[in-house]
Amino acid sequence: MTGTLTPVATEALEIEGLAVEVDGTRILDGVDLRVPRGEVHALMGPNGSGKSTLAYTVLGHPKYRVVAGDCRWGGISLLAQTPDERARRGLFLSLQYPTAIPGVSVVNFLRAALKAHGRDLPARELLMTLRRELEALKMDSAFLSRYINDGFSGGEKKRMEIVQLAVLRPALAILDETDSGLDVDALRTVAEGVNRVRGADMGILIITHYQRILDYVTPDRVHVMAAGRVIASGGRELVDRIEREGYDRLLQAAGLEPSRLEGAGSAASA
Amino acid sequence: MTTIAPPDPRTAVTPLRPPWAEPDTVTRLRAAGAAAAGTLGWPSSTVGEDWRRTAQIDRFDPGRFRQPDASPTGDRDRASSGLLEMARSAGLASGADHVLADDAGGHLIVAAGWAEPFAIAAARDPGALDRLGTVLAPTARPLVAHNSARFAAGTLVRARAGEPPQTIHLVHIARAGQAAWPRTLVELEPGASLTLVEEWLSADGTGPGLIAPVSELVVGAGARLRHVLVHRGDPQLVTLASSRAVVDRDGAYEVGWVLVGGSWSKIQLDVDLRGPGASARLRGCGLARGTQHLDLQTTQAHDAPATDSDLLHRTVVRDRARSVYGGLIRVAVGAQKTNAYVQNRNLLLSPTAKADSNPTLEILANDVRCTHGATAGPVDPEQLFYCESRGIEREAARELVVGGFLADVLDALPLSGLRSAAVDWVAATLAAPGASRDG
Repeated sequence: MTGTLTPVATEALEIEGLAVEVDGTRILDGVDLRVPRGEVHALMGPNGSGKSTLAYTVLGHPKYRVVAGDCRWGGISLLAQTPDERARRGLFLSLQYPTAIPGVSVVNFLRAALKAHGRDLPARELLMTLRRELEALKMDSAFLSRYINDGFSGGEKKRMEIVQLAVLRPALAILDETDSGLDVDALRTVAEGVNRVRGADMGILIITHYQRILDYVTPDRVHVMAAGRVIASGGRELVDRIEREGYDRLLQAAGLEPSRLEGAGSAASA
Repeated sequence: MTTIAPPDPRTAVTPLRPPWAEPDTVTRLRAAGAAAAGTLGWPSSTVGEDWRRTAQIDRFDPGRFRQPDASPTGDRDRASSGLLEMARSAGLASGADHVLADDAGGHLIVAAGWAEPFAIAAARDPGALDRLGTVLAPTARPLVAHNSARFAAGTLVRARAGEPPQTIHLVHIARAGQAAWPRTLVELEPGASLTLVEEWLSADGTGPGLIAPVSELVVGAGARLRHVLVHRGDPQLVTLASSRAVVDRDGAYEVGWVLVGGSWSKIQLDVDLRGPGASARLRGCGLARGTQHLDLQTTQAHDAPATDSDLLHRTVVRDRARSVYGGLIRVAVGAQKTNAYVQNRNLLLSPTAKADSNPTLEILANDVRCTHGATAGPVDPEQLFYCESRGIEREAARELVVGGFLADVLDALPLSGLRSAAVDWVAATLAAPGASRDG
């Protein structure tokens, strides 16, 4: 073992001036954001503002090319690390559209993931853990032997992401529109799942269009993204303001032209 | 003036005369095979479709391999202990009740349980081999003609209704420098049930050799045959195999295959649904790496109404290897209410890996449901990213996704021992050196 210093207090996702291109098009244009471990932050913003791009970039999806800025976890840059290294350092992404892998059962997938995290559980213990987490998300244990996300409904996929979150217990979780496409009961189930895992050990960044999930999971901080950067940050009251006014005023205050933005204002009307 | 090309020496075949008394029917079959070898000629990649993508046949001469003298069969003592051990360990892996092996010289050894070599079957009952050559006639294809004239080892498997269901593991063993022409006749009487694993292996280290087996399978009315073909032969073993099942009314034929061995292979797998209500389920996979060339050709013939067949062939191709697949569904006039499906899915693990796929339909009835499909492509990067985002390293992620790609065909294999062994063979093939990391 080297050193006894554990900088838990300063462990945070720190994003500074992050600029990202996809196929040569600039999507993120200087994002600044800090999410410490133990806090829940919400990231809101109109369609096309770059929220999902930010999520994928933090996990290191190869499609997203960082052209400027930095992204650190626990003070160490993530940019040179592969996605699996980032995940093993404690990062987790709940995907907006979780990928199906035909032929790979939920239990085998999670066994491999836990093993990668150095938690090679005995078969019995693994099954007990998975059954418990499925039950918490109101999912039948028959899902264990189904191929992961293959033929799942939209809601089942989202709940399976939260099951994985609960099983893997990351230090920082990004939930990319985990609430979209859920009916009110499923939304509550998913929110309860998030509340169950939140705590001093975990930082959570909830990316959402809607305030609905934030009625159940109270954020410590709220950020608004537009045109590839964070244009406003505040407390819970910022959600209420967006609810009341839509994004237009915030956009105008940031010197952005609301009409130019695809989907601007859709959050408030939802 | 006309020029007459000299006859291809490869088509001049002398019928084998085994050192045991064969019934006249078998002697006639050998003569018919020799004659058909001459009239059909040697296969060519430039004649017809069958061999178009497997031009290795053009330069190949089975005569370069020695055909050993046939030996009296059924004698365990004559078989080398090596053969016996190979058969035993293969049988242990699958967990079959009966384990036997044949080799190029026609030894038939019984490692466990029972089996009936042709010689013994014919001595007991001169009519026992009457069905030989009726499922795959000597004139069916050149290589069937050659096998009909040349086979030394032969195994008769029979199952009757009311008997406890048997599982048989038959190991065909090739030797370096030799040509093996094993022959198998399987007869399921009406209502009978049987599981048969046929495995191709190599003995005596490595070296070029040939194995050219022919299997004829008769599935009686209401009978159920579960059949598996396993290729784990030497990387220098050429394989030219033919298997055909005829299925009577309400009979069921289920065949699986796991092909990981050999250098270049041409495997012809046919089923003929002859009676109403007959069905066939065909599910298998091939893995090709290095410079391997795997050519699978299948025929699903629907010759009676209300027959079903469903085929899925999956391949994983690495390095500079190549998969060739040709699948024909043929629905005869009057074979109404038929359902027939053929699918070929290929996963290419390197840019230099190649898969050719040609599923075709030939439908002469008008009230049928038939579909065919083929895909080829690399591992989906989004699937890899999903695994990686959960902490799984890239190579482990690739193994997981490729394993998933093959899961449905491996899960469909009969015998749990065989299923887990197959998972190991696949993993070993994928992990072997030379694995491409850029797919």
